[in-house]
Amino acid sequence: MTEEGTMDLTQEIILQHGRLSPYKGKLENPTVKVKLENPLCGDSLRVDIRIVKDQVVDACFSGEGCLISQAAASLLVGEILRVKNLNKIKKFNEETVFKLLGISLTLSRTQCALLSLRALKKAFKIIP
Amino acid sequence: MNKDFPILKQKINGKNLVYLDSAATSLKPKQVIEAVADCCRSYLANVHRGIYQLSEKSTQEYESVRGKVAKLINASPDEVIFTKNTTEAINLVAKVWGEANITKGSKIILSVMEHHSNLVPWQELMRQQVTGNRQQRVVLDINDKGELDLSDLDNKLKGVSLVAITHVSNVLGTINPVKEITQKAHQVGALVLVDGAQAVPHMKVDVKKLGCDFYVFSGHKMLGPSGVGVLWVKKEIADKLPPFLTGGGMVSEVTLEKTSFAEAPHKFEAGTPNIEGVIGLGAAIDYLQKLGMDKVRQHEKALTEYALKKLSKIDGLTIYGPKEEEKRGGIIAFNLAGIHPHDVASLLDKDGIAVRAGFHCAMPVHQRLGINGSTRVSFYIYNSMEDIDKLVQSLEKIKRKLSFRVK
Repeated sequence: MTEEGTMDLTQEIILQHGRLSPYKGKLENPTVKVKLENPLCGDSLRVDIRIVKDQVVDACFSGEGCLISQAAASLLVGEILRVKNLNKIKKFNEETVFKLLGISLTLSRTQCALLSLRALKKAFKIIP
Repeated sequence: MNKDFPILKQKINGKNLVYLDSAATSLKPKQVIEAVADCCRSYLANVHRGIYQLSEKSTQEYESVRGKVAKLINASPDEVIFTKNTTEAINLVAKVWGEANITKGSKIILSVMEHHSNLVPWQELMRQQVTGNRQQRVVLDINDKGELDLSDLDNKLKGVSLVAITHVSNVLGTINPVKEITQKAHQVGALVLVDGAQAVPHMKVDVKKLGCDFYVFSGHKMLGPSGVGVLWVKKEIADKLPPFLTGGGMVSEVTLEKTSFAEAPHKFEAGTPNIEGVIGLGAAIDYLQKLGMDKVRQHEKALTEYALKKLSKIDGLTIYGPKEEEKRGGIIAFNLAGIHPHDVASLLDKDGIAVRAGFHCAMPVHQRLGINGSTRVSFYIYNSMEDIDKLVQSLEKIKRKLSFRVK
């Protein structure tokens, strides 16, 4: 991880998802919406999910933040929409996020990456 | 000089380390590292407790640093109290002076540019001491240049017990006119605490000339080890104050029923102190004094002037704080339009450049500026113009890489 051209946060996938996410927005009637803040930088993130019979039918995220937190949120929402099955989504963990991002993170940037996962975990506690 | 700093020999991501975060903590020269190691290796014993030779030697060395600190800031040694850091020094004042003097109706003046360490202890003190504390705290604002707005100071000072103000802002870099503020504060009978964490390491500070009542700073920002801070208190005030923590080392006589306390400064230093840390601070002061504090300031002023000139040429880069180097210390906070400070810092790190990103423990001033964080570079004696060239080059590269691309 030294020179240009290796994987870092200027990777195309991070730039695309971090700046032009197709999943950015708010839902009209979400089953659950959760907002979380990163105490380190004050960035905030909101995740909206609509669920019908244990299947995710729609999801998106909103908020301001660094490339890592925005890209991780976008990729995670994309994965939620791909998997759909709520029980499988409940099993998402830190590894899921790291795999989606595909870049190595320093300790402090890990917090940025996991903000959306923490929001998702909080959402599962609220879902009836 | 850089050969004195072993940490600078290493490579970060294959690049030579460029350290631009001295406002957070400074690097340590081998003279300091050696002094700490030598102390531990050859004479460390507890201070003020032993009759044997090693303890005498440790006590002598430890107390000689009190003298060095006093000389550095033009004070008397018995006015120098060793603490853990600046934060603990301010908490000490908030507790021992604050609890006796801040009562219902008391007013404290702070500024919007305070570090959390010179804000939270006062908030907490007022929360505990009085109800409806909002009216009790008067906040000095900044103007568009990032300087303190003192236009209404006389009015604001009415009925004030304490002014707690930073000497140099750790975000804006602004050097505040603490001498003038102190003169005005004293006219209404208020005491003045100055947070010198960003001043003492970088310029000549004379507490007598400033005239303030409390002055605090940290050893780790001035080439010393972490874990040692300094609280300077005017003798006549210190004598009247109750002790801070209680226990060993701060007493004159103890029976099972009651205790009489030692004189200042010892009554504020309960328990075994950070002996090797204090010894290290002594070596750090020797190092700085050999260079001369005026030279240190000159060097940083030149770096700041150069950096301000170079950085202001980067399109889309906003610098916070005064535009003139003589009005500021070697601290520059900035933002690149549309790029999050954490991303800037991560990418600078790829080039081996260490900077701070976020709020720098000063959220209120960021809220005042209407920004959600900033990137901060800060300079010290080991930095060079070349470091700034590397920073500017890397920032230009980051801008190119992260400039908005729509496919």
